[in-house]
Amino acid sequence: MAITYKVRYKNHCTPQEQILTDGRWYLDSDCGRKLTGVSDTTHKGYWGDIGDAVVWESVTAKWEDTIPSLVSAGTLTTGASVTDTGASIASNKDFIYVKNTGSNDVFISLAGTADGKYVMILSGGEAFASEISISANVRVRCGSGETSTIEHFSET
Amino acid sequence: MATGDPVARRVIFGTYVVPTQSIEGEEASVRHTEFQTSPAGTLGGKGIASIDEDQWGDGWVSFSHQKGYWEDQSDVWELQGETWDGTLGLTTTGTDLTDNTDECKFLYIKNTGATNEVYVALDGGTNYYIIIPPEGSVHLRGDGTQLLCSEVFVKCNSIGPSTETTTIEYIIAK
Repeated sequence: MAITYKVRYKNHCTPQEQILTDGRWYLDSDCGRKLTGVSDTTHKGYWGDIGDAVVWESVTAKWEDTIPSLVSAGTLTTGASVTDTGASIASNKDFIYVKNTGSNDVFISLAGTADGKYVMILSGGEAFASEISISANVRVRCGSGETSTIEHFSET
Repeated sequence: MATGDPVARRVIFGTYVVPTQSIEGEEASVRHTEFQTSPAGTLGGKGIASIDEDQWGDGWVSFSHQKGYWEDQSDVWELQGETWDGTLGLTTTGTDLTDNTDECKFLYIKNTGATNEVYVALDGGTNYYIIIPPEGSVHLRGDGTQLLCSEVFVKCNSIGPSTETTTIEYIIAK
């Protein structure tokens, strides 16, 4: 039995503005509406992973049976500790989900090299989910002297 | 909708993730879909990003053209033959969403195209690590110091012909 895997994910946001200090929040007038996007990520695999079968006609098996990455399921890791020292949680992946389950802020870097900047931040309860390049190396850390916990899920 | 200049702005955002697996039955044409064993359910998170009430320009949301005022237009009137539809067209050549160098506090991009993926770089256009499929979106909070608005670059995927295009709607807020 062939099994294929995918992740359906949605990122949505509602921009708001306040006209009076401590007043009511309104839908932002510059934006005018709520925003959302929904999509499925399927495990594409890469012909380069096959090595010798880079020509379509030379692949004699079904696509999902040919590329190993198509039969891999993701695994949710919960309660992972984060310190002020950067640590990699995913590399060579097609999809990443990270949620800060602690109370201190967590910083995220996607840079393929260890000296890349941590340009994203997640406060407690916030999550980041996206398809990513397999060149990305997802690393996390906290601010100096702080710790937190995350849950993360990735797939190839 | 409120009137008057805002004294504060924020963005409420959320993420919802459903990992599934599709299993082929005895009859190859029959499949059923279920949660993956791990996490065996849905995932998600939500938060609120505080952004500046006075943004860097009209183009901080794609629904307003960055050159929405005549004094910002460098072309002659007769050459502006199209109305702004709230989306930005992309080609396979990377482009920044703005040249503003304030710290980026919140970024949202949706791929409103039907076929091609959008690639996003957060380092000035060197490495495009984030991929947005058609109808998909991504949002993130900048760390407040290192990610500048001017460092967010976007382009259409460059795997296919160089003539590939797509469109996006976005928020890029300081």
